[in-house]
Amino acid sequence: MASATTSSPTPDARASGYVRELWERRSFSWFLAISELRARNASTTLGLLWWVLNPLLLGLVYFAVFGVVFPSERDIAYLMSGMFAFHFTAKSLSGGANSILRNARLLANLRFPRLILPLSNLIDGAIGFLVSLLVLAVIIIATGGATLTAAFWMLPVVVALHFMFNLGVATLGARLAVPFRDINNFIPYVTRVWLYLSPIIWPLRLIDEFPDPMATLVTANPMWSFLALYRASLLGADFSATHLAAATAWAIALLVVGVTAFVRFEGRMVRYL
Amino acid sequence: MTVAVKVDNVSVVYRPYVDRQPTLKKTLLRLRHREISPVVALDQVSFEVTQGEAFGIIGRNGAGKSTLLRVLAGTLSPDSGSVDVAGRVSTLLQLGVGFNPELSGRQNIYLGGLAAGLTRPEVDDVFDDIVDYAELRTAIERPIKTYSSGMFSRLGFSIAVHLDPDVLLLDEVLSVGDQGFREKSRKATLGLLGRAGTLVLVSHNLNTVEELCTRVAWLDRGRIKEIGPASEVVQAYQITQKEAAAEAADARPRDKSGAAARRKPPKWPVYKKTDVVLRLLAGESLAQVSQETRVSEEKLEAWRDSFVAAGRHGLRVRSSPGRQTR
Repeated sequence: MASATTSSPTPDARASGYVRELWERRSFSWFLAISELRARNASTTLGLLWWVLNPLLLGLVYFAVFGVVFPSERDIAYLMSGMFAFHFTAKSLSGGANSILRNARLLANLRFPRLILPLSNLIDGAIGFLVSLLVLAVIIIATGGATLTAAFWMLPVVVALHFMFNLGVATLGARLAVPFRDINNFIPYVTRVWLYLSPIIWPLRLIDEFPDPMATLVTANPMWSFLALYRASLLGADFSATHLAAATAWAIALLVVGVTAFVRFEGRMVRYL
Repeated sequence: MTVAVKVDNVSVVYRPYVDRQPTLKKTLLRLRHREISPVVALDQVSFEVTQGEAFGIIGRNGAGKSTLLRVLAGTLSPDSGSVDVAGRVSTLLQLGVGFNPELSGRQNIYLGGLAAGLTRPEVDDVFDDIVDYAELRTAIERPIKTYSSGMFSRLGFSIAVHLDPDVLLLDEVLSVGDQGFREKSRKATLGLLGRAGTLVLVSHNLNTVEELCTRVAWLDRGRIKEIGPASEVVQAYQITQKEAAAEAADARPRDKSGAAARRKPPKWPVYKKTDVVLRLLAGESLAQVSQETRVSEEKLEAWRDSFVAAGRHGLRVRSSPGRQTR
């Protein structure tokens, strides 16, 4: 095996070494994600099902509220597509922030690329998300809203961008939550506000009625673009290249910023545990 | 000789406890007054360990021993200086805890093995050995939160030695488990050394250190106070320890008989710590047989013969009180 060095000569060599180590430990990421799922399965009766049930039940609550506020416009496929996609990102944020603290024992004992922890958290979330997409498919078909357009084939690209974005969110969350434990207390509120600012529990046309700073905030919100893309590919909504460009930019920017910040912090991480 | 571990001018500074879990508020406040006296855990430490060597690290609590092991393990990067460890490193820094308490022993073995860089088939291959060695055949499917601390330790130690490391880092683990397992772990450690593996051992058990290690570093408040052959360094350390203890005893008289009663009654032929001392004519100590070592009469004879053959006289062998062998 190669020499394990904590101080390397060039940043380039370090980056490629890091990626190689990450690749060598790919089965570890996978196993960690699966065992998280298993541990949850072991402690709750419904296990993995909760990943789908949580957004589904929350969605149903909002669906009822939606029905009161916008009785003529309630659309369960619209609501649930937003709910599931948003839930994946929200889970990445909270799970990513927690991934380091939760695996403190592993971290203190073994040397491995720490990026594996938020990464396997993402894998864990992705499994749940893919299952929830199946549930969404059932909802869409059941409500008769199934329209297969050309944009449907964009779905893998959208999902891939969403994964990148979520990994960025998770690493950034972890980077901040390890030294600043207070962050964990803020996350639920941040998530809640983010949910309200995303077009999930209110119909899209409402954007025209928002006052300006809020309208800007809503459309600049990365979920605005991601949700538009999901709905274009799944619900036959209009596809816009602007959304694709914005989502791509968000995904790349967050991934680069998050992963860089995380990896730079890695060596000091264990001091905060 | 190949260098297995090279530590060059390594320093680690911890920020004090109050600041170890900084909050946003504290960080913002710190922008105004940022004076906090840092705690230097390691202060420009340098040494090398050659391949196949057993290297001991001793010192009082808080001397920086565990920090040094963490740096060697690569889980903590030093503030300055560099560390090179050649080959696969296996560590058990916090042995008694396991990795994920919710998961079964089986899954924890995989978790530890994969994290350490093994592939799945490789873990499959050693899985049975790990379980048998840890004597956990019946408990392996249970979540490890249901394990006793001895079971944890056995599992952890078993994983560490079966990862077939080039460099094994042990922190006070040879003293875990019951008597039988302790003996087994000592054998495994010797086996590793036999395969040209390198061992770095942190322990408060000076006898273990002296017995296993060829060289020892004595850390004192983050600095290497002495480094060299095990017996010399351990003895130098013991002398200061005794002096410190004597000072403490002078300052605060205590019940001497109570201390004596706590010691285990010696089982023949286990000699007490200072009972068997081999001395050169000049009177300097050459080797000291440690407390736990069983010294057979044959071995004593052999030692004495070799000393006499080397033209050295004045070898004095003392056994238990009142039993002067020669």
